[in-house]
Amino acid sequence: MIQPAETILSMRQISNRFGNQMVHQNLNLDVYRGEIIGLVGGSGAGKSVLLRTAIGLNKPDTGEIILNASPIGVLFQHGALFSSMTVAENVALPLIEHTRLSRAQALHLAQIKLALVGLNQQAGEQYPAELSGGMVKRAALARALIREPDIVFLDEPTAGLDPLNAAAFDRLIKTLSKALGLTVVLVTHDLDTLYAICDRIAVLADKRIVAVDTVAKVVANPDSWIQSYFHGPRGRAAAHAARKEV
Amino acid sequence: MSRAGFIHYDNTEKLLQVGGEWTLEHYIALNRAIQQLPPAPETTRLDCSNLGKVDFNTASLLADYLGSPQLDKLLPHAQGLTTDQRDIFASAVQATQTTELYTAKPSFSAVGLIAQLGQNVSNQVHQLVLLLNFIGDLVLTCVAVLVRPSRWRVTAWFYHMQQAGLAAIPIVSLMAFLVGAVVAFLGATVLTEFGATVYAVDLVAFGFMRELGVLLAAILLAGRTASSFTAQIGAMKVNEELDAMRVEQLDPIELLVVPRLLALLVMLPLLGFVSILAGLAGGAAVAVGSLDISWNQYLSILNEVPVRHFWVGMSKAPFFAVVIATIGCLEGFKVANSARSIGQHTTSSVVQALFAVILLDAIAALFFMEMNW
Repeated sequence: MIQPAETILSMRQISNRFGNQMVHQNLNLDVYRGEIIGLVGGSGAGKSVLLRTAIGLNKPDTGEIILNASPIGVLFQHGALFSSMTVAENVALPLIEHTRLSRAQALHLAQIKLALVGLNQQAGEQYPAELSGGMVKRAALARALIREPDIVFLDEPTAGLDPLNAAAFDRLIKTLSKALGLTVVLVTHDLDTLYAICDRIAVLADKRIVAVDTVAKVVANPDSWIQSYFHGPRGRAAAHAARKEV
Repeated sequence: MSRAGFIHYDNTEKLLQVGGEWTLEHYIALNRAIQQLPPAPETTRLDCSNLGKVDFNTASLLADYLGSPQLDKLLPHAQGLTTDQRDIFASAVQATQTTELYTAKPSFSAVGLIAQLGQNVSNQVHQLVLLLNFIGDLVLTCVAVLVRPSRWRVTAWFYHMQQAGLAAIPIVSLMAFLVGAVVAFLGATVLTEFGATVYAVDLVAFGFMRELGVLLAAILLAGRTASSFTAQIGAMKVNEELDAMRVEQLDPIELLVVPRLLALLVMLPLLGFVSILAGLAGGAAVAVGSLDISWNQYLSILNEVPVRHFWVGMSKAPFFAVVIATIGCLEGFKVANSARSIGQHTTSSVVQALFAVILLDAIAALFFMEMNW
């Protein structure tokens, strides 16, 4: 059974520096199996760098990362679909490369995965350049999920989507996380996403994680940056909407 | 602890048993097992009491086998199914409802071939119209810019002169020097039989002044500069920079193409001149070094070559410049919204520019011969 306190990702004393600029200093973060954790912070606070560090694309200057999951899935901010392949081939590629499934089987599974994220067969036969932004996000999510990872990292999953699509994408992530027992780490600026789907929120400011807890507790944190972030006009509107839904 | 997934069907009881780990690593084995079961069974009960972990891919396997409506009916009464497992099966049912089995498309047909031919022809016509359109646009913009010095983009112009011209001098010189030496050797090999080794110098001099000097420079620029123009403008197109320019009421042709065209118009004749000098130097090196022709003798032979041959050669340089810049920039504008498209159009730009330069040179050679120049 799933134990609530089992950590799937643990980052200890992480420091990242680019030239003279310190991005992270002695940063600690634990992610528990099965939760949806949102990472917030101001523009340029180093959220994306932290995400890349957790995935292993960026080697930290100091510190230790323990990731108890393989494979992992990643949804890049702009999808990063391979432009020379159709969408279905994009999704099927990890299966074709890493399993002994035949090409037809892999493509069939890819089509089903695309249906899971709400894309039809016709979209699967198109090239990424022919899709809208929301469809690219969905297709990239399908590719991230195709190898049944235990954990997925989402970089700004709802950025660039209209509110209806963004809300639908939030619901999709929540449903998938529940049904597949998925751990989700997401970087977002979308306050609605934070209120709607995140079990916990980690706030990145001053080169470290200043708070990590449930939405309600983080919002009550007296830190000045957190106060202005969650109690600005947009924060209040999102909180209001979230209360209404409950 | 990881038990392989299994599936078993009891025909008398109409009971389908599934158990073990239904994960991606067992997908192939499970798929094989399912193929040995009777197709589309009239299952009335589903027993999942021994079922371990289930993932979405294998869950969809069962949905494919039973058909989503039937699995949907069985799920609520399934024995020993946990809520989490039921959720996964339910989402697989939902996803497979709308998905047909993947079928490969036929890759070859006679009708398709003819359709492809027609497509290619209409595509080529379209490309030609685009080219003519672009040339017209470019000429108009050039005239409009030239008469108004306030609209000259001097910085961009100098930048491209440096990138396409100055930076190319070493490679152009080296290439022309080597070709000059090769031509001298070639001439010597053939002409020695007639006792006319001295004419190898004439061969190099006439060859480089009339044809090779400027042609070599143009070929190098077609590879080096046309491709870089296409890639630069194509990357801007992918990044929507061209659209941003148009929105700000800036003309991409004026900002991007005119400075590049004017830079090549200035630099290609100069590079052609450098190339002629280097070619002659290459010829001299061979003549003095291994053909027993003295340096003074070499210079006096050069002196007797009528200077009109030099002007005939140089007169082609501006045309080559226009062709290279136009093709390079136009291909950049044709780039569609992907990284792959940049590569395709860069290739196409180099191939077209090379072809156009050589075609133009052949036409010019015919013309000059008929004119007796």
